[in-house]
Amino acid sequence: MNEPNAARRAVGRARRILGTPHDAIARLEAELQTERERISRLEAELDELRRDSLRVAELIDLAERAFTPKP
Amino acid sequence: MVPPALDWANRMTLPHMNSRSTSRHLVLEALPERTVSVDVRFDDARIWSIDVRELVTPAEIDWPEMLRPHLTGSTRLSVHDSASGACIEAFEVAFDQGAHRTAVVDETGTPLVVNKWGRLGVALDAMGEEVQALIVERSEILVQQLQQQGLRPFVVGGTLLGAVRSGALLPHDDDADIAYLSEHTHPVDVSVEAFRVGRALQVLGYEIKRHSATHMQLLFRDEDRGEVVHYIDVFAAFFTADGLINQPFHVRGEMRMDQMLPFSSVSINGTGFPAPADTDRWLTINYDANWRTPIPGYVLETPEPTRRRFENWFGSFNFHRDFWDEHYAAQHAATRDETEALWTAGREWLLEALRTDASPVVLDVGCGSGTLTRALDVTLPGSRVVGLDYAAEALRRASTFAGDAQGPAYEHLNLYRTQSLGITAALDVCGSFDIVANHVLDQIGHYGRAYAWRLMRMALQSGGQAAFTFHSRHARDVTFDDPTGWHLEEAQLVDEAAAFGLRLAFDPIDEPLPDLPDGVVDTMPLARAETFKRRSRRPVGATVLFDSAPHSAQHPHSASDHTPGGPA
Repeated sequence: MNEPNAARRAVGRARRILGTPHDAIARLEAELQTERERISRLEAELDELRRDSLRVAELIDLAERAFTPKP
Repeated sequence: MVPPALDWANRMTLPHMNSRSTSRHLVLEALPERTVSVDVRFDDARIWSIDVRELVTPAEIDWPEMLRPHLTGSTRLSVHDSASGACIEAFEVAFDQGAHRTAVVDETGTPLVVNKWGRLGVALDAMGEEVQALIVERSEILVQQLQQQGLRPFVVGGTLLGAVRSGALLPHDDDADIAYLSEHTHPVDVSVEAFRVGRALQVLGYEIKRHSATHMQLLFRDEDRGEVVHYIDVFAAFFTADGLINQPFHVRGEMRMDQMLPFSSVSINGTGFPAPADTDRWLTINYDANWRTPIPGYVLETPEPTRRRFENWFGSFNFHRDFWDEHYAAQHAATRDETEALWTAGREWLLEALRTDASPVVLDVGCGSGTLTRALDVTLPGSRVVGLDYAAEALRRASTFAGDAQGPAYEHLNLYRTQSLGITAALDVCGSFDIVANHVLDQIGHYGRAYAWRLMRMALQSGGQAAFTFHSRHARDVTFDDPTGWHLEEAQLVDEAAAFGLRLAFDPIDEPLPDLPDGVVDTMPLARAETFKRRSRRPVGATVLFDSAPHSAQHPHSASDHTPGGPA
């Protein structure tokens, strides 16, 4: 008789600490979504930084040709 | 018995047919164990190869989009094991009621196959031994020329695979692939060097189509007809500081320098070519550990992080260019007429916009086959009109209308390149110039639009005008693959223009109700007009203006004089 009560109390304590499984999942999902958004922002920033390489390369090429006197 | 009302477009109906296959898709009922690739043949000519390693039979496979227009008439459709050639199944099919045999050929009658990009092209086995020998010979010369530039060329991709596997070009491939190992490790330096290499090759007489900073395609044309017979791809390869080998657009993986250098040698039809020291390692990175197994239907799937890295580092100058090249190629007259009709109202609007007050130079950006360019040339006799496009086939088609030296000029311009900003210098434009673009901004990507905005700003700063048209509704059957169905919303354009210090004056373009065919009486004119309006793509004209008054005041010739809401 005592054991089920003890188990119920343990589950109750765990719920108080962790919240219901639904709460925990919702919290994890929210955290995951936040992290996803952060990764997307970082990836977009990385894309821009990498694209700067192309811009610089094209500008160097354009400048070299523009400033080379025609024979 | 075939019922007369049968839907011929969607059924194959002859005896011995695979009853579940249709002209929309092929059904593979069952495959022998350990089959990795199958060839689909029409009247014993290979049309398409399919990688079936992950296929679960029975499987319904859509015919590739580009193949569908050819699916007419009848053929003996057979499916073969790519490795052994053994026939797995065969049946006579009729795609429609045509009495002819199904022909997948180009306008010269050369057999076409679905290539690794899902497009129709000529495979090496259909090119004949003479062309294959020419490709090997030209590749050998090219390797020498690259070496003379102080570079370290070697064969890669399918060319290396064919050489290692069988000492020959891969019959299912469609080109030769050559890379050079750059000494640079930073993408900026690799790109600058690649631009220099491209120009050096152009000086040597090569026609180059540049797909990215580090990928160029050398085109070899038939001298008489001007058609491309074959091409050779040239790539830059380089080690990055992280120790990985890179060969855009696909290869990126772990490789030690001693696995690359000193080069080994491979043979193609008896001709020696430099290759990575460890060809096994290279081919494993390029394909996978199973590279020894012939899989003609193998589709390169570049991992997303690699694709993203390379596209940002080196650009994607060829974004949808194959679509436009094919659009303007000879055999697609009907499709071209349809799209020209879609752009007619926009063309008329732009002609009206520039009818008075045009600058001495007018640039028609994204001119296609030059319909607007020619019209501008006629209506603006006092202006030098130049048509600009990035699709070589479009420019070729436009030039065929030129007739004599009095016609407009056509030049290459790629809006995906910073280089596009040099167009006025390249054309020796002095003083004010105008820019028009008929349904271009809505049919290109945002990287291309960024340079379009800059060019239009340059036009305004020169004292000229800039105007463009776009569809504000997409096509009902819009797809990513077909940019003619794309659209833009006014709000998006306003935001983009504002980022460049520009504002836009919009003018909805009236579309006249199309004439009915002769003899057809319109019994419900209001309903017809309503249907037409509902289906309209809603073309809009836009005049580009400086966002701030001081700019406008400095340029009295600019479009700022014009009332918002009307053509310039």
